[in-house]
Parts: sequence; C-alpha cells; structure tokens
Amino acid sequence: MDATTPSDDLADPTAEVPAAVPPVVVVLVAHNPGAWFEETLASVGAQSYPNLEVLVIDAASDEDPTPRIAAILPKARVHRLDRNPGFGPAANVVRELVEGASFYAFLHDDVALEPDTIRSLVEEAFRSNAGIIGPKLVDWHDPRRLLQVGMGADKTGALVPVNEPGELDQEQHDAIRDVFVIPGACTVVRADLFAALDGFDSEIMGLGDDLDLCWRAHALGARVLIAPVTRVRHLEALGERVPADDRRRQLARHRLRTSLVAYGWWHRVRVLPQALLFGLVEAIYAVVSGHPRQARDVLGAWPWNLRRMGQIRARRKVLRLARTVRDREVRELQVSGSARLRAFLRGQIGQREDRVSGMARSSRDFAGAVRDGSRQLTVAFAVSLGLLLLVSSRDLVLDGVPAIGEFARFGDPSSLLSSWWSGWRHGGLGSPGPQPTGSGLLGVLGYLFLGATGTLRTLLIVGMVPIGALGAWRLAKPIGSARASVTSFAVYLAIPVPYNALASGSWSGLLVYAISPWMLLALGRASGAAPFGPAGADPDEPAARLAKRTPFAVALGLGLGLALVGSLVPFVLVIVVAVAGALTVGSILCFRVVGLARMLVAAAGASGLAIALHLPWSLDLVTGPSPWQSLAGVASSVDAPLSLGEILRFETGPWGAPPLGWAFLLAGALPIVIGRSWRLEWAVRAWIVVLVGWGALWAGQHGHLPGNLPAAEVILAPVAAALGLAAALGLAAFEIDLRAYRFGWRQLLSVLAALGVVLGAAPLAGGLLDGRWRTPETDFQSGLGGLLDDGDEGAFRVLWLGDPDHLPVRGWRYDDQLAYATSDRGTPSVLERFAVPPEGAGPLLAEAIDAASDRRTSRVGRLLGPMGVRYVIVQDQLAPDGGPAPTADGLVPMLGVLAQQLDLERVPVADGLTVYRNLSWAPITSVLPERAGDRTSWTDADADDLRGAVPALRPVSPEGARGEVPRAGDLLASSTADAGWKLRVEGVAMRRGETYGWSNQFDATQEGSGVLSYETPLSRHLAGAGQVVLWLLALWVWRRSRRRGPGASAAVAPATEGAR
Amino acid sequence: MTPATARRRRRRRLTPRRWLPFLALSALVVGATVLEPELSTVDPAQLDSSLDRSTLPAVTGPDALSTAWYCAGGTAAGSEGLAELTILLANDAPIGATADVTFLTAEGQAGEVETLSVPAHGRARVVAAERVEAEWVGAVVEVHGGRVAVDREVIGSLGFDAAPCSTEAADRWYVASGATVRGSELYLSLFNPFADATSVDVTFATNTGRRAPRALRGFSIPGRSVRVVRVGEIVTDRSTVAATVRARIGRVVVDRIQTFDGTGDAVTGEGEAAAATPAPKGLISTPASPVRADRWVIPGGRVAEGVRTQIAVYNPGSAAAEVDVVVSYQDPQRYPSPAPIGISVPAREQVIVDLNDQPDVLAETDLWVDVRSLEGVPVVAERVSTFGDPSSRQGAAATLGNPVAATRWLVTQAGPTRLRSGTVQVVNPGSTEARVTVLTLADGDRRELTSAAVVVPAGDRRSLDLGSAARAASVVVASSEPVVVGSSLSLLDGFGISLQPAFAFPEAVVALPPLR
Repeated sequence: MDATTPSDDLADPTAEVPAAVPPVVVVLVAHNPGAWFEETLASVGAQSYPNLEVLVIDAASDEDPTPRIAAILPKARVHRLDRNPGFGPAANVVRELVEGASFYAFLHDDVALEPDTIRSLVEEAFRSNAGIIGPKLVDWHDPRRLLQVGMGADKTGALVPVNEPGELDQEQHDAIRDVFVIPGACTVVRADLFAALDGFDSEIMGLGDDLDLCWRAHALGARVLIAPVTRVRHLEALGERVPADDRRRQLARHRLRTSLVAYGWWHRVRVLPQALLFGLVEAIYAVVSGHPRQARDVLGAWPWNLRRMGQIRARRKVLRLARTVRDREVRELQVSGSARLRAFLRGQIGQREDRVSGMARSSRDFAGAVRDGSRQLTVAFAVSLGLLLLVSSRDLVLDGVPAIGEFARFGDPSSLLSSWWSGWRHGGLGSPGPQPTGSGLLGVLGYLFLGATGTLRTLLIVGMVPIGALGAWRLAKPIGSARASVTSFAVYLAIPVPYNALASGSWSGLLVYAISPWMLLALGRASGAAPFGPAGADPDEPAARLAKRTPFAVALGLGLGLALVGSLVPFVLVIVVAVAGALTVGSILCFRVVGLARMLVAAAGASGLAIALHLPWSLDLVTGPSPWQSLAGVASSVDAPLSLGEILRFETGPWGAPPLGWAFLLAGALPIVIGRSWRLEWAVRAWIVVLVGWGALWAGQHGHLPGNLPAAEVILAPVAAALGLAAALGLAAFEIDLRAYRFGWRQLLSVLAALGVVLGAAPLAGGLLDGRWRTPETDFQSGLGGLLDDGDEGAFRVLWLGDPDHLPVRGWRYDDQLAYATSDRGTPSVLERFAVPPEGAGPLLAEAIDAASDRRTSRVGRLLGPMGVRYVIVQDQLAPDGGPAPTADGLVPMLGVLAQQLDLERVPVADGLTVYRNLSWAPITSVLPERAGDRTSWTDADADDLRGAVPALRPVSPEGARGEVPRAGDLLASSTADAGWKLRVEGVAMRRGETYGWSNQFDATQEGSGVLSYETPLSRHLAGAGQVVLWLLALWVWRRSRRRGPGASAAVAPATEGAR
Repeated sequence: MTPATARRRRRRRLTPRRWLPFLALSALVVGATVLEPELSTVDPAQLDSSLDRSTLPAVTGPDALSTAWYCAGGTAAGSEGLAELTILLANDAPIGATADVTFLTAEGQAGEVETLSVPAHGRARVVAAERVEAEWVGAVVEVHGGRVAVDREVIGSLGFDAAPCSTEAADRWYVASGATVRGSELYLSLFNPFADATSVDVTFATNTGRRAPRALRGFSIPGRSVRVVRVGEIVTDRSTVAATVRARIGRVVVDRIQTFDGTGDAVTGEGEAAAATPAPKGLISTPASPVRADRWVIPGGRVAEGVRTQIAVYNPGSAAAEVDVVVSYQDPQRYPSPAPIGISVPAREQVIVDLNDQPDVLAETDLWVDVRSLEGVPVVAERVSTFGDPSSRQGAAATLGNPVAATRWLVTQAGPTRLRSGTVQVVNPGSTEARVTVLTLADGDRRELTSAAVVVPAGDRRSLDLGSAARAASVVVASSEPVVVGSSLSLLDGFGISLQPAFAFPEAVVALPPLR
C-alpha cells in the first residue's frame, strides 16, 4: 500500500483552493453498508469545504462497495481491508495512506452530513484550538430528535449523555463547549494530535474507541469540543450488525481498558476498586433480574483486561511519555460520582451509552427492566432486597452451614458415586436394592466442583433462596409489568418460608422453595392461558402474540427440575400433582378451563419423567412396605401443631411473627377484589393453591389426614409462590384494572396492599443483625466426631432416636412422635438422608427398642449387640445452641426406657443429646464368642453376651470389608442376610449362613487375610447404566427443545415490550 | 352511564369467580380468629398425674425376654449383720425360668454372676451372705422367662422384714416415714445398678422443718454400687423424717432401713384418746416409693393395746395437699366407717395420722385405709405399725399403700410355717362385690385353694384362710373385680413382722375404682 498525498491523488485539480485552507481528509469506514450508504456518500460529496479529500476504508465487506462509491464520489480513494478489525483499527490505516493532512474527519458509514459540516467544524477547531471536535448527532429519520451532543464520563469511563434520550432539538444544546467525549460517528481530529495519540487503540475493535481517543487527548492537553452549530444525521445502523450482548460486552471491556491505560498508578489504586464494586452490584442485580449474561459481560471485562496487561502497560508507557496533563486535572473534566448509579436511578442506563439505543430497545440488558423511569423505585426495592438477602446470609456463606437436620455433610464424591453404583443399601441393617439417584447426582456435582463438596453443599442450601426468588421474578414476568415482577420477587423473598427452613435445618423446604415458582411458571406456560400464553388474551395484549408451548416441552423441563429436587424430596411429585389439581379447581371456579388439559398432561408428564429418571429407585419406593412414608418422610410431631394463624403467617419457625406476618395476605387479596380478565382468573387459581396448601397443612398438623406430611416448609413453599403470584397480579390489576373503578375503597385497598408488600418485607431486615437467619451456629457432629470415628475396636453402627426433624439422618417412624435410623462409619453424611424403604432386617431395630419400652427386656444393648449398634443417641434438639427446644413428649419415656437398661452406659456430651454406649455390642464384622445353644432368633441375643466378640476385617465401603480374620469361628457380618455376601479367607470361600434369624454368618474355618464383599447383581449395574443414559438423553432432548422451541425470549420479550 | 349499564357492570363484577374465593378467604379469617382458640384449648385434667404405674413392682410380663429386679437395703455380714439379705423368686409359669443374680457392694460387683433356676410354679432363693461379704449389699436379679416375682427378706437381731424388690430404677424416690430419735436408726440405701455413675440430692422433711444437708447434695454413687446414708448422723433426733431422693443424672433404686432397738421412749400419743404404747423395737426394710399418687389404698390395719398404727402422708410436691384419711372396717355393714380424718399436708412436708389417737377408730377391729388427696395433689402414703406388749406379735413394720388395683396378684410367701404366721388381705375398693379365688404354688404344683375362696363385698376387706396351704407357699389371688392385696408375715415367737403389698400381674392392673 503506497502512501499518497491528498493533493496528488484525491484533490480536484480544477477546484480553487485558497492557500490558507488546511487539507482535510474524510476517513469513512464502511462495513457491509446498507441502502443508506449512497446518501452518506452524497452528503460527503456535497461538502463545501474547499480542501477536502475522501478516503473510504472498507472493512472487509462481503460485497465490494467500490462501484457504489465511484458512482457518487469518483475521486474518492477506496482502500479495502482483508478483515474487519473494527472502526478504530480500520481508521488507523489513514496514517499509512495519507500524508500532509491537517485534520482527519472520521465518519461512520451511516451518517449524513450537512454541506457545511466539515467547514464549520474545521473553522471552529481553529477558532477554539480544539484537538477533537464533533457535531451534534440527530436521528436519521427524524432530524428533530437529538441523539448526541457530546458526552461526559465518570471516573470509571461510564458515559453520561448530555441530552435526554430522544430529546427534541430546539437548539437548546447549540452552545459550543468542552465535552469529555465526542461520539465516534463523526469526529474531526487534528492530524498531529492523532499522530501523537498513536491513533485509535488497535485493541478496541468496537464500541469505546471514541472514549479512549478523547480521554487520551485530554491527557495530552488537547481540547475536545462539541460544535452543535452543524448537525449530522445518524442512522445508528450498527445495532443491526452487532448483537446487543456483544455491544454490552465491548463497552464493559473497553471502558475498563481505557481506565487502565489512561490513569496513573494513584488513580488506578483509587478508582479501580470502585469500578469493581460498581460492576459487582450491577452483576448481582443482573442475576437477580434474570439476566445472567449481563452479569457475565460486566464481570468478564476484568479477566479480559487482565489477560492483556502487557499491551495495556505498553500503551500506558506511550501515553506517559506524551502526557502533559495530570490525572487530577483530567478528573475535573469528568463528572463526579458514579454515572452508572446515577443513570440507574434516572433509568437511563443502557439507553444512550452505546449510541445505538434505537436498536437496543429489545435488548435484555441492565436497563431493560428499568427503562421506564417510573419503575425505578420498585427495581431499587428489589435490588435492596437482594442485597439484604446476601448480607443477611453472610455468616452462612462465609462460615458454612452447620450439619443440622437435613443439612448433612456430603463426603467425598467417590463415596457418593460408589454408593449409588452399589446394589447394597446400608441404611438400617442394610438391604439389597436400587440406590437413591441423589447420591449419584451429588457425586457428579462433587467432581464438577473439583471435590469441594463443602462449597457445593453451601451453594445447594443457601443458593436455593435466590433461585426461588429469581423464579418468582420470572413467574410474574409474563404479566408484563416490572412492578409486578418486583412484587412477586419481594413477596416471595420476604415470606419467611426459606428462613424458617434454614433455621430448622429443612433442606427439603429450601429445595421445594427453589422450584415452586418455576413449577407454577411451567404449569402456566403449559396451560397456554394468558399471560403465559395467547389463550384468553385480548388481541392488543402482548400475550396474544405468544406462541403456545407444547405440553411435551414443558413436561421435559419441569420433569428434569422435579427429578433433581425429587432425589432428595420425593414428595415434590405429590406437590406438583396437588398444585396442578388446585389450579384445575381454580380454573373451574373462575369458569376458564382453557388449557386445563394441556396443563394436566404436562404435570403428569413431568411427574412421569421424574419417576422414570429415578428408576429403579422410584419403583422401589412406591412398591415398598410404606410408600407414603418413603415419599413424605417421617414428619415431626414433637412440637405443638401449628396453629391456623401460624400457618397463615408462614410462621413455622422463628420468622413470621405477627403483626407484619399478616401483611402479605393483604397484598395477595388485592387482585381478587379489583382484578379483571386473566388477572382475576390467575389470582383465583393462585389462591386455590394457597388455600389447598394451608388446608392440607392444617389438617396434617391436627391429625386429620390419613398420612403424615413432610416438613411444614415443604408444603408452604408452593403456597408462598402462589401468594407471590397473587400479589404480582394485584399490582398488575392496580395498574390496569383500577382505572375502571371510580375512586373509593378499592383505591384505599390498593394502597394497603402495597403497604402490605413493604411491611411484610420489613422483618427481613432482622436478618441483617443475625447474619445467618437464626440458623444454629454449631452442630452436634463436630462434638461427636471423635466418639463416632472407627477405632481399633471394630466398625459399628449408631442408632438414632428422636424427633425426625432434629435427627441428622432420615429415619423411619418408630411411634407417633419418634423416628429411628442408623448411621455407620463415623458421623452421618448425606448418604443417610436419602429415602429408602424400611426393608431388610432394619425394622428389628425398632422391635428391640419396643422390647425395652414394653419392659420386656432390661438388656436392650444385647438385642442391639449383633446389629453392631455401639451407640444409641437420642437427640431432642436441633443443635447445641438450638435454644430451649421443647423436649418431645415421646422422648421423655424413651429416655426413661434407655436409662433402665443395664447394658447401656451414658456418655456425657452436649445438652440436647443423650448418648448411650452399648456395653454388649459386637463389631459389624467380628468373630463371635462360643455359645451353647442356638442363635436362631433375634431375641436369642437377649441372653447372649457378645462382649467377647473379636473384631475381624475392616469395612472399606458399605458393601465390603477386608483385613485379618483373627481366629476361626462364627464370623458375624452384621447385615441383612443375603446370598450376595461372600467371604474369602486366604482365597478360600467360606460357607455363609444366617444367625439370629436375620444376619449373615460365615463359618470361618481358618484365620488369615479375608475379603468380605457384596456382589452386586449385573442387573443392578445395567439399571444404573441405563439410568445414566436416560438422564443424558433427557438433558439432550431438553436442550434441543429449548433451542428449537419458541424460546423463553419469544415468550417473554413481547410481554416486556408491552410493559412499556 | 345509564342506570341499566351500571347495574350490568355491577353484576359483571360480582361473578362467582370473584365471590367464591372471597368467601373462602373470609372463612379462613373467621377460622383463624374464632375457631383457633377452641382448638388449642387443653383439658387440664389430662395433664400428667405424676403416676407411672409401670414403676411399681409387678410380676414379669408374659412375653418378657429379660426383666431386671433390684434388691437393696440389706447386709451380707453374716450373723452380725443388721439386715441380712435373702432373695426369693417365685414363678407362676408352667415352665421354669432362669435368673442371673449379681451382688453389688460399695466397691462394685462382688463375686461372679450366679445363675439360678426357678422351677415352674416354684420358688428359688439365694442368701447374699453365702455369696458375698459386705456391710451393705444390693443385688441385680435378671430373670429370663417365666412369670416371676422377686422378693427380698432381711433378718437381723431386731427382727425381720420382707418386701418386693424394685423392677425399675427411677430418678425420684420418696420415703414417707422414718425416725432418728433415740433408740432408732434410719438408713437410706442408694443403689446404682447401672454402669455409669450418678449423683443424687437428698432432702428431708422432719417434724422441725425441712432439711437439705450439704453433704447430700450431689451425693455421688459410682456405677454398679450401693451406698448407704445413715440419716441420724445428719438429721439428728427427729421423731418423723420423710425424704426425697432426686437423681441429677441417671437413675437409682432407694430402700429405707429403719431400726428400733427398744431403748427409745414409749409412744404416748396426743389428744384425748391418746393411748401409750411401748417403745418400738423391730426392723423395717422396704423400698421407697418411686411414685406419687392422689389415692392410696392400705389393705390392712389394726388398733389395739400395744399395737400402734400410723398413716404417714408425705407431700413432696410444691402445693399443699388436702387429704382425707378414710378408715373402713371389715364388715362395714356392722361397723360403719368413721368420718374421714381430714388433714392438710403442706408442700414438702409430712403429716402422721396416728390411728391410735383417733377417738372414732374402733380398737381390736380389722380395718383398711383409703388415703385420698382431694385436690389432685399427689402424695405418698404408707402405714407404719409397731407391735409391743401386750400384743402377741412383736416388731415394727411399714408398708406403702397401693395406688392401683388389679384382678390378679402374686404373694411370694403366704402360707404359714412352724415359725411364723402369714395372712393375705384383700380389699375391694370398688362398688361391685368381688369373687376371689386363690391358687397356691408349691413344688411345681399349681392348684386352687378352695378353702380360701371368698366373696369380698364392695368396700369391704377379707383376710384369706390359708391354713391348708403348703408351708410358706406362694399364692395367686384372682378376683372377678379389681382389688388390692397385701400380706403380712409375723414370727410366732420373737421380734419380726412384715407387712407388704403383693405383686400385681401387669396385664391385670387397672386404676383404682372411682370413689363410692
């Protein structure tokens, strides 16, 4: 490429050029220009400036624009690039192609200049000694509308438009003045300054090049001026060529890059942490508002720049050498404070910052939810709540969640996976059968977290709250009102269900809390009824343009969600059916049955899919001896039943006390009173869900149901989601339907309902002081660790008794108030939390306790001895600092019973825990002492002193042990008798039999090295492999359906649009 | 807007889909405010009555695998012992049972565990001093199989006593009577049969006020041991002493040993009808009571010259008890009951009702006593009797009342022997006559003793005629109605009287019939 002079190649030799007119080169960068391009070229050709030359740089357009250019500007020089490096780097080429120019006029390919634009700008540049000068930009189609009249910037480089978006041009901004940034569509730059600046930053390939250029020009002491006396129409066609997400990403990256380059060290130290903080806040808001990509773009700017620190340092060095103005002086040219925060409060973020707002209206960026200035307060309310949640959970996040109730520790991923792969379940006294899928899922997640299962556990517990709140936001989003979304978000977040679940160690409550709004959303979408679908929507409503989702697609997504939650809370399948049923009743009550069948099909399909994904475990649960107990667990009946008032206030724990606990009911009742159309219909449906949930819980608490229910939070979570939806519908009704009523009590009720939302959320502030939602700080397991670790005395089990809500293991019902369960090999882990039916010899544990309770034995330790039970632990409160929890009525006699046993020795431990050491226990694998008589019945153990049992082998997994067999004799393998158990001593297979009528016993004919193992049947492994395939298949199909289907954006965007 | 349009619009607004849920919501609010208080109301009468019947000694259950009995309050010092312990096991089952007997002393287990065979319909006994030697000894008897009751006898220079061993340890025990005046000694035997140590607090209610000696606060009892407190060293010279033993952790078994050596003062009584009796002499060793109740039936009693009968009522609770002591005679048609003796027992205090001092109580007439706490404040009641000249029987005895009734009872030693007489009393506190049959167990044989069959009218009592029973035979008393059964043994020559409740069969136990 040859360097040329303007006079040689571009100037019109016939034109009369005054000697004092400095040469100007118009640098027009084009890339795939559209139909407007000719108008752009014509405007350039019509310039009245006498010494003007035109250089068109084509940035690798698909079609060569030279003929189009030649047709209008025959003298213009066209330079084509092989690739599109972006505007700045492409414009930099001018330094190689042109010599002798005084000014460069850099133009986008979608601007139209007035005939005197260049002349006016150059004249003003001379007059004002400007280094960079630009015109005012107006709308291409409507020149009365201002686009840009220069921009300010804050310390982080966030741009601050001078004018309001879409402002009518009444020459109110026509004063010539200094600005921080000249928008890049039309910029006249002094050529020597351009050279001193080393041109545009070659790494800024998109938006942000103008900020960078102007900032550095300020550092060099050049003036940057706006000259609104001339105007340039701007099409902002970039929006059609660059995706919205990409624009946001570019801006974030380049803004930070410019800050890193342009600031000296002191200002970097001072400003960059603030920039990071602002970025974090924006990212959190983005996540909360359901825009994770925005969060990714904002935060992703940092690693992007860190990877380019070498370039940044080099450019910083260049700038330092040329700098004539200190940062402090440059800062004086910038606006104070945070422009993004101010713009957020003014509802302007995203509107003008990329100068392509016309095309960005449908983008889902940070500003998408706040574009309407009247909604800023509500969004700020939501952000405040989100931050409040984060701050109020700080101790749980930083210190971890104690292992209380269902918050069991996870263990290492390999043990989780191997447990799932095995065909032997170690709950109770062990039994053959399929394993819970949850252990496999957690194992996989554990590996994905690189073994950091503690972090995974915290995430899966504390993270359920924001997931649920986000679901509430999304649930209300189709309503089409940002206020409604915020209301749903706020109500759901402020209802005390998750905090009571945290305080009481109810993981199942948290999991159901997380999925409930998504479940309602899925069922709503499946119904296709407005606002979730087009059915029933007025033609002018955005919902009318939504595509109906097939029940299959909904069932697939919902089924996967149910399967994930169901691995720990199988009862969620009952909940989805109940919610669908309640919505059906609601639909009938409001005489709107459209989409009902689709919704029911989706609910049934989702449940079926979830069941299928858990096969064969799910089959085992429903065909087990007590399927309801397997689904619902063993509910607590220790505390007094919840009163109706407590249920209505969601006061299942320390949160939700009156009077503010009642506030949400007021908010939820509003749409019933003033709502119309689908707002009333969905409010009725939501309220039926609420009433069914409350009613079921009340009936369950007072013993009016045939079966028990799980923890109250599990039942109340979908109730809370429905109430949040009702409150959101109330807001929508307030915005839309209230206008139809004359002023009266309805308006007053609306105000009260709004107060209800705000007041109901007020108790959340209480979490600020606590920092952990009154979750106990410690757990029993840390104190028990040493006691329960395997020593040299052989492996053993622990028998747990107590309120099922307090136990660290999932138990089986012992009596009306107590549950029993076992754990082995140290403190309990999440493996003991999965539902397994009470099969095998496990019920004998309860029979042994029964014998003691009925005064049929005073040696229960002997009965439990062959079962390997070394400790009997009665837990009567959730945690050591769990407060003065009322001791279960059933626990008092149970403690009395155990205290009567001659072979149980009490071990002093923390309050709330009563630990008895069994003096008559035998290790799980041990050689039994000689005994006259048979051991044919489990009751024979009552007269059998096993203190002489010698430990043999050491368990290496729930289904195997290896080690020394110290002597020949009857080797007890204390697990439910099953032919799958094999013992080989010195390679010789030992004969297996049964002892005590339930356990394995091997005739160990010799001592030596032995291996005890359970041989999982091939069918079990095949079932496991099939389950993996099924999960992968379901995920793949779901992923495909999301890509091909109408898509969430299609379903949501028009509604959002309509909200404006 | 025309009125018609307005009406139409109003009608449209009040569609069922609006008022139906509205109605449901309103109902809910009403339910929460009106219905709720009624639901949460709890009947105070259903609250804990503090009576745990299962802690009372009873025959082992029919399907019991093993039952432990705890026998304390005795010595194993040989002929010099104060209250030499002998354990007696009676079996009502047609198959034999075994029992593992472990003796525990202050130092822990003494000797090996001894396994006894208890024959079908028969008895077995073991003398502690023949197995161990210790100043004080307790025994754990673990019975496997059968329908067995375990009794213990103590014998010493001051007489003998017999009483049921305890089937339960408890964290609270009440001793309703005792004395530490000159000529008397009171011991509390604190027996911990379990592996882990425990500690107890002992408090006393005496005729001069309450005492909570520092030495007996947190009094430690090592696991599997027995410790004995000589109360007179701490609470000196008190004519009446009641005690509460409360375990801080764990459970214990408490027995009371009371001796009267005859060197004390004669008992003169109070009031116009006061009748003096000689200074008491004898040995009492009975278990304390692990329960309180608002009603106790004492099946026997008698006021006679030289015989003093007192009813000790101890109120260990925190509220005063208004108590009626109702004395009824055998054959109430002939001897109408005197007016109830009303007493007020302050909280944590004891009141003695001396029947000898009651002018309305007939002398030389067999009676039974019904102690009723009128306001539901649970108390402990027992009978204390001393027998001296000119009575034909000599000695001292105490027996707890019975807070329950049953239709079947086992008396381990009922038949008379050459050296002692035995009687069994049956009280029918109900309102329907009870037909009582008696079975004797001896030498593997179980047969009905037709001569002892009797009908006990409502509110009456009878002593059974066991003259034709085998020597010292155990008897089973079966009744068509719930009754209360007690027994007595007395040496024909010398000091020694035992008054003891019988063992109820657990499946036959019922609450005492309502007051007539």
